[in-house]
Amino acid sequence: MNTAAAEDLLSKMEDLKLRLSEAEEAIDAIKNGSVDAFAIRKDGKPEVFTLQSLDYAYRVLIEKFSEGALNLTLDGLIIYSNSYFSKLMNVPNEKVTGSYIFDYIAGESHQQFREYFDLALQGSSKTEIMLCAKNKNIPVYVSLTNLQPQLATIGMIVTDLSEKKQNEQLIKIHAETLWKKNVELEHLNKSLDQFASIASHDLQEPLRKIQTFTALLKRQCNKTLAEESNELIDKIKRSSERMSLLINDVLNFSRIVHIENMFVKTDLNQILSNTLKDFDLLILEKDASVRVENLPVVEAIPSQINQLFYNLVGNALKFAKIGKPASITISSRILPSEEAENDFNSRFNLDKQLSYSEISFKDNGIGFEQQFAEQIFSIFERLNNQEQYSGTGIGLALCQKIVQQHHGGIRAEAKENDGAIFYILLPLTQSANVVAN
Amino acid sequence: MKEDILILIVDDDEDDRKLFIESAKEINEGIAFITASDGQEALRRLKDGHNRLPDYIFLDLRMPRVGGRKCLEEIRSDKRLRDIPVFIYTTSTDVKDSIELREMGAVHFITKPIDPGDIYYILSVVLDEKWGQLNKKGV
Repeated sequence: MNTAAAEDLLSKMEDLKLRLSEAEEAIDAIKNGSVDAFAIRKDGKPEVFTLQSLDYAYRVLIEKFSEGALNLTLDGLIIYSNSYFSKLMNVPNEKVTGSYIFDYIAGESHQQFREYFDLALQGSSKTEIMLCAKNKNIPVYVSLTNLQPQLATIGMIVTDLSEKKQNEQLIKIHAETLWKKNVELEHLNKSLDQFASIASHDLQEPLRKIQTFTALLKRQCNKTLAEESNELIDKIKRSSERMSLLINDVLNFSRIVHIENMFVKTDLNQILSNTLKDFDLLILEKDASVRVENLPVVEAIPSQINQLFYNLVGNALKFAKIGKPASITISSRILPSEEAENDFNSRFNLDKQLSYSEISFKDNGIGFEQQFAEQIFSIFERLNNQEQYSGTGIGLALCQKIVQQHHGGIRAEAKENDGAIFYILLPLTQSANVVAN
Repeated sequence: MKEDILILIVDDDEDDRKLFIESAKEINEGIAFITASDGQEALRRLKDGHNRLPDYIFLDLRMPRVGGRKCLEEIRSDKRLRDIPVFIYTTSTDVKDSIELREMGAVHFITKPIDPGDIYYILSVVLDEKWGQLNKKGV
């Protein structure tokens, strides 16, 4: 045997020894469960062999996932993919296995995925990236977990975010529309506010002139004018006074809406006593008796409550019966919770978490038919003629607007010729977490 | 007479200017008036160093070009003018306006009366201090 042949045999033996030890190692690895797939290079391409019997039960479960589940070697070779992932990528499952995960990452996410993959080599990582399926990109959430030391692989879970992103997009579009509408609305509100103030100023201006010159005319010609002409002048004066009142009331009405964040603890007794002072003279004139019971402290806008009380007391005096002393009783009670949803109060959409005070204004005046009890709160609505009872028909509409602003309610009970009761519901606090004293 | 009261009335409404002046003359013939029909004209006059400064300014709010608000602002920011008492004299009855303008430095917020006779009383009250002094001096 020549030396060359002997050396060749020796080297073949070395090679066989090496392969044997590799095979023994593999068998050991299979025995102790640390490996369930082999990647073998064949013709320069990796080929993956998996031991299907080992973890059959888990594979079945994983196949049922509605998320992609993959097992990757430490250099990113896919040694297992469930069918969800291959369907998501629109690639046959057998082609996915044996390919590299990086082939499925969209260009824009490549670098990012690389970084998170490297992070996962140290432990685990999670991120949102774009996958690249056939002619479309898919937003996904990936979670990478290093399975070492048990396995020299990385587990990867892929969650499809397409629907979530679509929803987010929809929400964004809705939010934008809402925002636009809101801006429009604010704009409209502002214009309305401006309109009310300009209209009332511009209407008021010539009207004041009419009043001024009527007054001058009357003063200058009082004695020289015929009585009839004087009466005509008085008519002009009265009409323009009424017009002026109307303009001011419309303006007040339009101002109610725009006050925000002005709620303070308000002692209703104090407001009412101030209101009643304004009526001192009229109360004397009408020989009226006003009985006031204790009223609560509520979170309210004092100036508006003052207007509310002013209108209600004013109405009670205005609509008193002629020749009979007016009697007004103002009282309050805490509304029992079971009454918050009765026929009377259900339409006010009261907040179940809040306590309400029911304040009643009772008079013995001319009253009205109960069928008109809702209509009276509409703007410009009047039940009595102008000659007998002056007014603009805005007072009760204003009252309603004020209580609405306070998230309460107002209603009336009355009989024709037999007095009226106005009930106001006001929450003691404007939100459930504040307790009024 | 040197000690005459000089009042500047700034109002775009000619009738209102006339009525105001007539009523004021009823109080004292010695009150002198200068008028401007908007804020711009008023400021031009006030800032001209040759002119005598008025003792009081009555300022309408809504006027073309430069309104009362802007005019008041300019007066308050001018060293020479800032101590002249400014009275807002307007059709507005808006409490918000009233509060804001007084915060801006207006002495009073007067809603133009319907009866021109009332101007007399308003002016009497407003000018009371100076008026009293004038009387004492026998003007």
